[in-house]
Amino acid sequence: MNQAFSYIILGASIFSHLLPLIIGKRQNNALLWIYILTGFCFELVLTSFKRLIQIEGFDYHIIGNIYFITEFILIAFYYYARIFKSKVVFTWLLLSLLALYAVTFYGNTVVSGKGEGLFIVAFMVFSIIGLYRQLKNVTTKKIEQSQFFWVNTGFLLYAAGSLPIFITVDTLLQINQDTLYKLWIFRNVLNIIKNIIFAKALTLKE
Amino acid sequence: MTDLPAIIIGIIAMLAMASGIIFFVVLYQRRVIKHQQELNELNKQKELELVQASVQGEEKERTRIASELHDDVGATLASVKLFLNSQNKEFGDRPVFVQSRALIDDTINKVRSLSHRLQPAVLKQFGLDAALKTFFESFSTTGQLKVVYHPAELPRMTEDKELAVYRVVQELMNNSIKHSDAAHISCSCSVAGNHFITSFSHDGTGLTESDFNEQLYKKNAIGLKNIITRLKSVGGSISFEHEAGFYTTTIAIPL
Repeated sequence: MNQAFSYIILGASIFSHLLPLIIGKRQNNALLWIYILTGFCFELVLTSFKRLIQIEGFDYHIIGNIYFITEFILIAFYYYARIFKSKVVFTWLLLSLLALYAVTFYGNTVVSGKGEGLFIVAFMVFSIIGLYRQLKNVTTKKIEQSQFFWVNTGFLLYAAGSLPIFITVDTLLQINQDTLYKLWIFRNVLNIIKNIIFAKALTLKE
Repeated sequence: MTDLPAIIIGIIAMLAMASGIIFFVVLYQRRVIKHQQELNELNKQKELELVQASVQGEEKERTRIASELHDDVGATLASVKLFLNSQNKEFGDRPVFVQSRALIDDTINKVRSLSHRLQPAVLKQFGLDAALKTFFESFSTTGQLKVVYHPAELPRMTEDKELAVYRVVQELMNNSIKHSDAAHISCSCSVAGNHFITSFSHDGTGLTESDFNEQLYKKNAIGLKNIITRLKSVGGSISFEHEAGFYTTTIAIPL
């Protein structure tokens, strides 16, 4: 795969955030919309100004880690109202995962792939529990007519597909960066799919 | 595991698993909805059967009481009248005999009228139009209330449907006399599409749609509940209108 193709996919991945942002503009106070906006801003900054940040002497990886943490907190709070019955369990889980993430990136000069892998597993668990909760609530409305179903689908597909990438990213960065760049194209494709699914979700009422 | 094909296989496997979960959820939920709809359908069917059974039971009881009144009480009163007549010939026109005879005549008429209302034989033999005509004629003779029935060429329906319309009209008439303080009452029947329509209007104090729904939940609204039960048993519906001082209740029964 040539470089031009990977740049096109990268650009499409970043700007695919605009699709759900525009479609869901009327729900711009929803946590999901804010999460997509955050993703768009961070990815745009990380990609477009990567070189600029490095020239200025700023540690680029700190932004990456902040993005992963922000993403996790936003998603966790999105699911808090929907699947968590206990505030204590939620707080404990949130703090534990954040602490574990801190351990994985502390002292490193790279974005924590293992830490993000941990968050990705959490997203998968959240979305599966979300789907299970929807199944438990007996209703005559088809599940595809619910926004929550599409959000769970988006997170589950994205998380399941990117998990193998994130758990190998730390090793690949050190020994085989070429493979990592190729794999990153898959991650970007998954991000595009996720944003299209979120756009579908935001066409539906909460 | 840093081999590209191995990681790609891993990605595909994970995506297949995720897609499997999503498909399972969608299909399972469809099954649950289908099952739920079948259950609802079954419940509706059972409810309808119960309503029909209760209406049939009520009708049987009415028929039995009507027969008892007509054949037993009516016959006994007729015998008493005959006995009084024979005594009258013997002892002359004494006031006690005259008064007793008048009272017995009145009672015989009341029993006959009650018996006919409980079991409208005209309905069975001549149909709804004739039965309603006879029913409203009994009120038009009172003079205080102007009751008009507009006769029409009506198709014969099944016995339970004709009886349902007749009973609902009876109930509406009773309610009008008891609560509406109306001076004019009119009723007409017609066929529109595949529905049998009965319109009942009066110029007194009546019910609107919201009043009816509100009254329905009250403890003593037995008459209104009976109307709903009757209509439910034949798949009918009721609607209310208030226009130009007239309250109109419309019943629609599928033919």
